[in-house]
Amino acid sequence: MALLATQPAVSAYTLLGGKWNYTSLKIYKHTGYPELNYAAQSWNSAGTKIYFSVTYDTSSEIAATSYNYGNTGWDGATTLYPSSSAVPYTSASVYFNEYYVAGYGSQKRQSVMGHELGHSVGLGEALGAVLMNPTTQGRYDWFHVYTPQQDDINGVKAIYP
Amino acid sequence: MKRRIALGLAIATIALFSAVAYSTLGFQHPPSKTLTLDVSWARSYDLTSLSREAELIVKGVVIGERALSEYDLSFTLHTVRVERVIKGSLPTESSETIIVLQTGGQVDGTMLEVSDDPLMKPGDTLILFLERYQQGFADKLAGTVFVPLGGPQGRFYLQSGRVYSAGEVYPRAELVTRHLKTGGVAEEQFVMQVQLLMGYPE
Repeated sequence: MALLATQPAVSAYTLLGGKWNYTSLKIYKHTGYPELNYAAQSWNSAGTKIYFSVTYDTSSEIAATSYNYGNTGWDGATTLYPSSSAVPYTSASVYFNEYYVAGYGSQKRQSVMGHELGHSVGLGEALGAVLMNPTTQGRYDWFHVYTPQQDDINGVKAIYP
Repeated sequence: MKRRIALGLAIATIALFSAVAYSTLGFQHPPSKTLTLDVSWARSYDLTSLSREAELIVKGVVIGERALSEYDLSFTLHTVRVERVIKGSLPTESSETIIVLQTGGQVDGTMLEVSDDPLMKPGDTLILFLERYQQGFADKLAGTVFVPLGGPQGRFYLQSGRVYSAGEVYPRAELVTRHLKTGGVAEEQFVMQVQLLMGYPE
């Protein structure tokens, strides 16, 4: 573990292959965590065309919920419809696993939520000190990343130039 | 007429055997829709942390599967016939089999699969690093259910007596299992390494 933490933060974004037809996306907030708003704001200020509005509108493009799924190993998950490689996406569901996120500090929770919002616009996983690092331990505990990094931003700009 | 009856009996026999095969091996009809789940894994594991933290480490074969849904997501309960216990002990209520829960599964014609955690299949021979499934919907499940540590990180595939990480078998799991590559070491060598790491000081 220490070995990884001392490695240079080499990364390269990956893409899921799909995209939305528009860049202003509403998130239906079905969770009490304010970190969802913080994560959305961090993406909004990242300098891409993506703009998230967190709402209580059930007709939003993205639905974000939290629930205790138990120790399944994952703390956040995203499903894109009709598929992750579809153009365009028609909706997305984002899930936060209370088993893990309830015990996280605020920034760590934001790290998970920001990561899933990255998936919700078509970003895949990437290595190193980036928001799209596939593990929360790697992303936050080792690299302290909880907002979009340049590689994440480059990925979104590649999808939505 | 006799020919028709014979043909009907033949078709019924084939259908019966097919149904038995589906129910015992867990095979399902092809899904009408496939969705992927892109997840954030809570932990990163290496072989040391897997060996130390697993409550149960077994070699086993997947012999059945059953899907269920919970709060908008689907899951699969795999029945694994244990061939060897490397660490821990099997639950008292079962003798040779354990139940392993994995996120993803086919419910109502829709297959949901975690993008970097391909579903285990009947016939897969694996070495699994497990912990008891707790909280969530554990109280709805009968008996003791286990989950692999860190999804694809907690399972290794046995092929021709050699051990491979999930990422060496499925390229899409490669990124999250990059610290766990085995290069296809012999089973005994892998087990010895795990046993050594189990007692390795913190």
